[in-house]
Amino acid sequence: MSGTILDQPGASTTARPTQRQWSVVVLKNRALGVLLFEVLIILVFSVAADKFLSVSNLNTIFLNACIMAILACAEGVVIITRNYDVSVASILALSAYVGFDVIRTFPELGPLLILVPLVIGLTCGLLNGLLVAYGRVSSIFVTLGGLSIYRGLATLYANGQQIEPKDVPPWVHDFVTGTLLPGISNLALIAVAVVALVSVYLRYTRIGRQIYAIGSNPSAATFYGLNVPRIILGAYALCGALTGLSGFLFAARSSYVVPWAWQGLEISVIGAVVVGGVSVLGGSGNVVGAAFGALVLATLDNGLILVQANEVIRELVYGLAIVGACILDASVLRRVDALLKSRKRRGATR
Amino acid sequence: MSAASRVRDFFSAYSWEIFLFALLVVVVAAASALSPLYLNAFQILYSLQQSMAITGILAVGFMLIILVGEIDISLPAIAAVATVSFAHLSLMGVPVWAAAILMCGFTTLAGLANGLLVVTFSLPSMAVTLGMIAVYRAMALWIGGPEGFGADAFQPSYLWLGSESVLGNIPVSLLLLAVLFVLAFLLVHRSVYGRLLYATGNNRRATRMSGHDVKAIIVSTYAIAGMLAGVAALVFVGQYESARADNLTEILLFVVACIALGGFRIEGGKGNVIGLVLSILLLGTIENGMGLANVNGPAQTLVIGLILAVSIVLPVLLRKLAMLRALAKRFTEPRQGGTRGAGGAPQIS
Repeated sequence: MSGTILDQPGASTTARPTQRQWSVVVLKNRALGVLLFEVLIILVFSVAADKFLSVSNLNTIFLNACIMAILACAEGVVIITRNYDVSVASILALSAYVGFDVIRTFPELGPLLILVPLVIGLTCGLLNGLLVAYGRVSSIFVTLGGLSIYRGLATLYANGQQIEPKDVPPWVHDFVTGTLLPGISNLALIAVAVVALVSVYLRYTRIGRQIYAIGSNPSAATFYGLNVPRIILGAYALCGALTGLSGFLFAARSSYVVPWAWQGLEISVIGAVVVGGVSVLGGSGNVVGAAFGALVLATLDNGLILVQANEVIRELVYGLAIVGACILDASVLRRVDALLKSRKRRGATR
Repeated sequence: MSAASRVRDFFSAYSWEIFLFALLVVVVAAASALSPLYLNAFQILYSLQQSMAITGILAVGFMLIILVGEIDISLPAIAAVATVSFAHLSLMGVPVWAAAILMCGFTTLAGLANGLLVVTFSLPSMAVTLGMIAVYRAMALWIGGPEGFGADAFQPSYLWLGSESVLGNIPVSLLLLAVLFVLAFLLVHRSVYGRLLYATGNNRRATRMSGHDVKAIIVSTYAIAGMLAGVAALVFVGQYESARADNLTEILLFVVACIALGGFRIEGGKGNVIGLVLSILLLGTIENGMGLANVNGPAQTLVIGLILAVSIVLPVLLRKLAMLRALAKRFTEPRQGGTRGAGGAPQIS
């Protein structure tokens, strides 16, 4: 999506220094900004609804946000490479259903089978990535095709059946609801670990930095000698594997698994990523922000229900949050662009 | 120019459209071989109307936005707002022409709002229209309520466009779609505006530098697509005799499949109306054939997805093949060049 060329060149280079600093501060601390926003809405809701600030309710919000945070983190990696994956909901359904079916069929293999949904997700991600990276086709077209293919496969595989909790061995549910550390649910541990690992990987490893480089300027990355298709393929593979993991977690938490569940979830996931300050133009933002974005959306959902807002208001707030985040992101990027340009100009005159 | 080279030029310029046409012929042949019921003008027209009238109307608007290199995935949501509003207006006793003008005006404004959001803040259109989906769905829910409206909400005149036939079994909505195709062809391929769409899609900066208001061009495509979403809503109301806030959620896949199969590129500036018409006919025929062959719903979705994937992979493979052929040519030619070089070498020494 090219939109930046619309900027009038030189129109905002006259921005005052204070404005520049404001934009740089926001850019550098996006995740923190999202967290501040989260605190703000928690404050608002705790005044508006007295049940909101109870420990059990906050716990519910957090647990609801955990899987979405993993998904937002997965999608975030792809979006940082300046691509989309709109097939996450279908990958989720396919890996959840097939994974649970395998677990049901071979109960004696135990927790090792958690790898099955992961591998299914990884395969789907690799397929998406192969087409996007080596076919050089728009990721929206590719993953929209994937959306219907994976969903169709899941529905055909299930053949009208559903899997209920009693069909799978008890370790599945213990895995999610159990507490490895006292007082902290495994689900939360997994989510925090995944988000932290991916974030550190993107921030401190060579391939992580290359992912950002590709997103911020694909042609420069190619000229620099990066193997752009391979890295994009890797980003999709990671996204797919994490989606498979989320599929397992979602399935283990829900009361039954059906192949047509979670339709339209990709909208919430991309929404969380955008609200979390990851730029859909690629190359900026981080996955911790995306995870916080998921937390913000979960809080909004919960809080709006508690203040008895109807579905109209909930949808509206949701949409406005995404559009608002886009506008904020664009204005910050424009300011930073202007700042970089004026720096270059000053450097040239010196 | 010789006749042979003219033919070659025609084939290379319209290779994708020719491929689509050949595929269409194959699919029609396969469908008529598989089912004795297929080859029947009434059956074909009815089935095309059922599967492709709404998709096609939305796709024409979608195409204009794609041509300038943007996207609007909230068009089905805009159409959903219009369907529930039509039900309301019908219950209020508003005549259908007034309601149509009113709602097309509204959907044009909605498209305009999307376009203005995209150009004024130079936002990525995919993310913005994703957010706008939720906004329009909220609007539809507010107008239509959670239950929506059934057939009893509509005056018969509201249903005419989507359900009646004229001139001996030609569905009105299909006729409308044909008219829209002709108009779109004239607009895109025979007008200055059409050339500007391609110019904007191919090189936005150059178009702006040559003195055209790129932002206005982009916003105008959004407005036209919005208006067509209103038309699609009226067809929907007639075809399904119902209106709910969550109508038309699945149709985006089909619209995008039409666009991708039609040879358009999401970066803009490529593809033409003939390709779109052929891809809509193709998808409609495939759906018709699968329906007659009793292929179930999920398998149909799978097939549509596979078609989308194939339409993406095939041009890539063809491009790679052409590259290989060029490479092979270069490998065979240097031998001649090599002998020439060897012949020239003594002169230098």
